[in-house]
Amino acid sequence: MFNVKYTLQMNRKLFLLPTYFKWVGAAILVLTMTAIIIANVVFDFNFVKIIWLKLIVKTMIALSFMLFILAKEKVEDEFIMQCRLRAMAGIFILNFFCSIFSEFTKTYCPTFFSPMFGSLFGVGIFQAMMYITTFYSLKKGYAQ
Amino acid sequence: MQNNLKEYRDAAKLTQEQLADKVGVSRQSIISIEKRQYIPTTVLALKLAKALKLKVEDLFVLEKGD
Repeated sequence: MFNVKYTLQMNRKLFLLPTYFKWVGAAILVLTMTAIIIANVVFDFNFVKIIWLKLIVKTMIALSFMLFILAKEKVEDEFIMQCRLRAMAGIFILNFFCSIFSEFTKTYCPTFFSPMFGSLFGVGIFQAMMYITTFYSLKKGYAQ
Repeated sequence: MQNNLKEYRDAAKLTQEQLADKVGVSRQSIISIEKRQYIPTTVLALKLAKALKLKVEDLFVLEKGD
């Protein structure tokens, strides 16, 4: 009874990757974080000092979140699509509050929030984390 | 919108998983509909009614505020 035509119609609205990309994304994040921790703790090496290495680490983190977010769920149906769209709409609104908040923090406490809101990368990662939290809360029925 | 999905599903002796498989949705969707957290589209409502051999109006009932 699974209607392929209807599912394809829904998926046309948003490009999504196959489900296994979720695990690829998670694996990249875990490996990157492990490498950072090992480098810091075992070898006392701070990757931030080397610009190209810092860029690679940041790219890997952003890529892992992107893959995790853009991967399909096991069963993609209208409820999942609605959760996804609601989470995206929520993040879009949150973005405005973040932009206002960042202006205040830039003026009054520039060092405290600068790692998160001081760069577009920080904002992107924050939004990705908020999206994942919102999406799974909606999916599991914690935030209806 | 009120729905009697849980009652009719129990009457049909189907688990949430079995009904979800029958209509091609996730179990989470069935749970959300039963908890009245999610109102399905017309297509899904018709599929559910067909799977349970009922009419849509038996499954879903409009409330006063709707």
